[in-house]
Amino acid sequence: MNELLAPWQPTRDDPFDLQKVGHLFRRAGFGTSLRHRQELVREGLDAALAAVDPPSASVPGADAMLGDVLAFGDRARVTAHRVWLALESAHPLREKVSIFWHGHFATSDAKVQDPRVMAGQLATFDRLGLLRFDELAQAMARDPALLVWLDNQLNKKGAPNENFARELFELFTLGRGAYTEQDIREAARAFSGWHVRDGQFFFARFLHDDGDKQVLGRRGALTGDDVVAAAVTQPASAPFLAAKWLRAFVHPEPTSAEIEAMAACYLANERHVGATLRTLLRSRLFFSPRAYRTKIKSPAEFAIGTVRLLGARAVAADLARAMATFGEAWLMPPTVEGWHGERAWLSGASWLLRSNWAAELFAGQRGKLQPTAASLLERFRGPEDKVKAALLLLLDGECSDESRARLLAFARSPAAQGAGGDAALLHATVGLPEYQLS
Amino acid sequence: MNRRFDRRTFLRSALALPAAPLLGHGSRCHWAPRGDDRVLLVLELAGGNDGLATVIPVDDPAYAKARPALSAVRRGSHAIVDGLALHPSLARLALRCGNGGAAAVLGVGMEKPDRSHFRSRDLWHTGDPTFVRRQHDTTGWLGRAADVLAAGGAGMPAASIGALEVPLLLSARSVTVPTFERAEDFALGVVPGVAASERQAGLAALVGERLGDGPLGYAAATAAAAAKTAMELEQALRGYRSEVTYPDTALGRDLQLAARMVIAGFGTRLFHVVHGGFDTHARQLPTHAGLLAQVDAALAAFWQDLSAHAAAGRTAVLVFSEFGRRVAENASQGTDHGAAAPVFVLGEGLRGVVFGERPDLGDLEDGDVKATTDYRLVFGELLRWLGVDGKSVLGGEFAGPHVFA
Amino acid sequence: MPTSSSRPLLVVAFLVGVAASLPAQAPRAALPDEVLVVVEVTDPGAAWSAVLQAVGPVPPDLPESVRALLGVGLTTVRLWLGASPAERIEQWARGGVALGYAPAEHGFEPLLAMRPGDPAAAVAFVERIGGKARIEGEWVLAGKSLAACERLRRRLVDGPARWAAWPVAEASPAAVRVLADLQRLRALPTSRPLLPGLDGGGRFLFGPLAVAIDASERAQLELVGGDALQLRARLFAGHGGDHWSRLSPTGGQARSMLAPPTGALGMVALDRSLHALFADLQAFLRESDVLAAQGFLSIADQIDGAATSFVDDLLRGLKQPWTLYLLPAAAIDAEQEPTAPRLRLPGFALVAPIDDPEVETILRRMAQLFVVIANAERAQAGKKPFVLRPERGEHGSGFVAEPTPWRGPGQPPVEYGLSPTLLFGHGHVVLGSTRAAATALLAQAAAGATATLVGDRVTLHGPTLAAAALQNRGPLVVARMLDEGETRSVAERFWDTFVAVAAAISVELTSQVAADAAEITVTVRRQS
Repeated sequence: MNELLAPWQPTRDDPFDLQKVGHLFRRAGFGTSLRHRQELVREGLDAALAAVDPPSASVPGADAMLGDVLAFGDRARVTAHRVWLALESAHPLREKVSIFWHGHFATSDAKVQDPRVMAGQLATFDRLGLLRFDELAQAMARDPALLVWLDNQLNKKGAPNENFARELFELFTLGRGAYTEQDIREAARAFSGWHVRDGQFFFARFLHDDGDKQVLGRRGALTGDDVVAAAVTQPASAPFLAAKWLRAFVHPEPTSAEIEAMAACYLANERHVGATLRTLLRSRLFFSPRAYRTKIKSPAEFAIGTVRLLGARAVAADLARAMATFGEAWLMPPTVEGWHGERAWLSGASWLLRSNWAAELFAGQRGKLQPTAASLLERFRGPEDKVKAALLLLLDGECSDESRARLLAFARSPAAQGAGGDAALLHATVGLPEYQLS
Repeated sequence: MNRRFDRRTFLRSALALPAAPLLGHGSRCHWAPRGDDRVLLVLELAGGNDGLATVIPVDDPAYAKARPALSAVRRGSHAIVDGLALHPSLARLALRCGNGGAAAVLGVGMEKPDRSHFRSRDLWHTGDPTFVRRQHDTTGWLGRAADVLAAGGAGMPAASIGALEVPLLLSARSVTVPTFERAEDFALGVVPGVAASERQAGLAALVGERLGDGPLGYAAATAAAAAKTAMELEQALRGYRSEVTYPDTALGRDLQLAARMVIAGFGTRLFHVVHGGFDTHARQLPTHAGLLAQVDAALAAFWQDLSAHAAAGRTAVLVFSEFGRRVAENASQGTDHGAAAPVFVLGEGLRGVVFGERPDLGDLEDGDVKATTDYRLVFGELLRWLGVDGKSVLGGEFAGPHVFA
Repeated sequence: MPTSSSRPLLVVAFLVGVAASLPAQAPRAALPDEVLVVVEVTDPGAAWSAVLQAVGPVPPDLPESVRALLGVGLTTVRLWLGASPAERIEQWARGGVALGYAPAEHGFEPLLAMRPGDPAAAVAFVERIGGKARIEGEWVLAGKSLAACERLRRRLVDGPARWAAWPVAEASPAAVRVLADLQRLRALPTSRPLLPGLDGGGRFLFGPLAVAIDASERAQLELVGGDALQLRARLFAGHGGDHWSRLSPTGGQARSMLAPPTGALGMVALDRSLHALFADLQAFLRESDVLAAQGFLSIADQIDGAATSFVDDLLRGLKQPWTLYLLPAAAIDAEQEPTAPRLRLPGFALVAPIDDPEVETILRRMAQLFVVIANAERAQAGKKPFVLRPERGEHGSGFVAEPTPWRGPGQPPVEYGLSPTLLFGHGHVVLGSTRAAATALLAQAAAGATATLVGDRVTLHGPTLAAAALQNRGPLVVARMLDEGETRSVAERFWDTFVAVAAAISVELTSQVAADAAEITVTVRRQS
């Protein structure tokens, strides 16, 4: 096993502590409460990994709940339900990975116009997102939402539409430069007749071009399945996906050595995404300083994370609305490229929107936070203790000396006194630059 | 595809930009208020404003013939040049035309116009006459201009006022364009209490900028700049006093908010405001007169306010609608969806009153006025005035009618 | 909440007794002239009994946890009072109580005058809640300060004045009564007239009432128990005749409407004329709303071609007023279950009398056009069309638009429970959200099943409403989990409480605005 992805072993100098648990849950989930984090520090790394990725994590009644959500059939409720799932996090890693795939196979209901079909796509991510990538890719090639989104309805024998084939190569499996325009043209023919009827995949036999094609070096009367199989086994595919996972889970700018190691790991695991990510999540690389707080929090990580770090409940629909104003509306990615992430997440305007939302949430003016922000620091006396508690709740108890000093100055100032003083201190903590980082 | 590639390259370069210019080493940060920056407000008359009843070819016999009932609008109209007069409701706008403060660009449209409100609106908003609403690159031309103005920084170069969601016009690639109804929407919010003002000051003092140029430094610089600007905006707005009475209409309130932000020198340079109801299929005369009267009153107050605060010289307004209406009136004393129409440009010291060719009512295309000025030419001229490279925004060279000096 | 079967009888006996020995002076007589709002109970004991009678026993289906919570609440009240409420009322205010509000520097200042059974206990109570009180003969006078008590005392000494002479209509001693001096309230610097603040829809619905409130010198509200709990508000001015009377064409006259079919969830019958509104927009609306309405008309007039005027042909031909009925969702058997939406929306039917056959022709054309437009929009979103079929039934004819059969996956979306229907017959036009709803109302018309009413009436029949909520319990619970942040158990308790309470009551709201008076009544009645 490559050095980078070798299992990390806690040592006396580099122990498994609150920072490590906090990091694990931020990246592999949406954060978790201080009590839970403290418990996991005591129980150790294996327990923490099992908590973020429990071996059996089916939630009783989940399907019935989805049915009740879809009874309304509106986009807002489907989105709120996804946020609710992330808030509850029965299986944090799965929720996080499903959202990762949502950004990867980025499909927007703006065009699909059927939240029920969109919910079906997300359910596919839940089901297959941590299994073999080739199976996921095959399922996506038959996913009604994705086919509508990428105009494959228009893809017919004799009049191919290349949109789906192009994005399959460029965005889903290979990346630019790993295929030719000829590959796209021929691949498009293989997907002709792969249509959607009544919200379900439908193979329109007479619209399918079953002639000979040559795609990515394969020849014959290729079908869509053959093309997907050819794409996922191309040499370019593993590093393409590896880089994407590294950017999502480790660092925005992975090195080529890291990408190589990750790609090798993926191939060694026979394209099993779950096995690959599990290796990554307990690796030296993942727990190295290179990964710690080097990514900018997505709106979801910010909004859902804030509620979860405080060990609180809140209104999922309100969080979904807030995330949309910060620039991340689930079910509505801006383009097929998904969300660009990192610095694009955080502009002056979006920082202000985040901060103002937190002010209203903590003041009890929206989102129905329970327990209230005001009650969380109640039992601490004095600015030092309160700052310490706020940092433990929201920032692994760790931040730059400058931020700590400024927060302490805030806690000592009249700003943190009087009614709402504790909530104001938590609000200030959420505004710190460290808190914008994952 | 090409365009998407452009965007990626753009984004990559934007991300690669060092945060150094943002940090400013204690000097003015990149998006601190800069009172001398030029501002463009785009006022959209939604529903399809009747161009021929707005800038009226009063002497054209074909006009009276095509509009037996509606040509009554000529009575009381205000001549701006020989043979052209503004609608009777537009008295103050006509006055501005007379002293170089407003101009009409005639026959503005596109080669293949569309009579659907939605599609035509998309074409105007994107500035792309071949645009098809799909998943790729749905940005508006004003949004792309905002991207250029922000230049990878963290400012608020553009704002949508009064709308529920950001219009396509202002959809940008890298900038978050907020939409707000009240100035308070962009203040630095705090947990309320007796110590609210201390909390605000404390929050603004919370973030420093000396945290390097990694993600932490970027977050710190962004947060610091945002908090500072929000405070400055609030103070500036609090300091806003105006003797001008705006009309008590939605448009009046929206324009007043825009004026407050311009006067505050907040640094927001692009605004979008919508005024709806122009879909006058029946009994057009009273409705259209009322709508234009609202426009006239609100714009007059807006300009009076800016002048009183010495901000008029750096402000321009574009008034457009997604299409004009048919030349012939229908049987309900109304008009149906049409094509090309005049737009208004407001500013100071304009080079003329009327630009472009007068509509030839004897040479119609499918019953509509032909477009004689490509709409992108108007955008190009406005971008030139703003000092934004129009080529990168409009995807080509569009040197328009030279409206501004 | 214990109620004995003999209680109603007791109440009646009590009322008779009180009426016989009514004190010469109403309690409000003790309030100074500057008071602008008075809350008065002449016989608190009787009022309390009557309210208890109206409220009745705790609904049997209330969730156990809510029942327990209620029990704790009642016990807490009892502990706080240190005796039963009835005993305390007797001690503190046997001979009546009046609470007045006088304008003060910040808002209003309360002034309290009561005739207690035990003056010392009453004083102790006032002081316990942080007020000041003094005994003055048979009175206990209380306020926030001793100065306030003194103001009350001076009024007593000087003898009755303004409030003693205040006209009170149909005084019932068992009522909790609120009297307001609207004239002087309007003169306060913070007060604003209501009408200018109302937008187009607000003026159509509440314009006449707002005019009455803006004009009336006084208002009188009464809350009375007994057979039902009734809140009755009266204004002693109306819309003043004039154009507002055109908006409510039948005014104080009784009119007839179709009786709600059996099992209806509720009904909204407003005495309003859309024709009057649209025919004279300037008379009713603000300038900007006039423009909005004209904008609407300029499109509406085009729908059926240039020859049809929305106002003159269509609205004029439809007789006012229109009535909206809410009906339960159609029952569904196990076989239909998979192809029926999981959310069962109640049906609605909008009914208007017509007398002009031309209107029927216009509406038929418009309905067809509407379906074409709606289907075009559905097609753009990749959804299947609703198929328009002519309908010729027992009681009339028209159109039904039905969804194309559902082929999955899963249960269909909510709109598959709709079959928008337009039917004509027996001098009525019915627009129903389902064929069943429209047919049910046309059947009422055919049977001549009518009811009479005056003014506006809104009724909600709790038991059927409860049944409708129960039918949709799953989705409703999830909605509260997502929208209110409740846990599943809290959300379930919310709906179970709603169902239990709704099943036990019915609600009726009536309102009448005449030229010189206005009255609104809300009645909550226990269902047996």
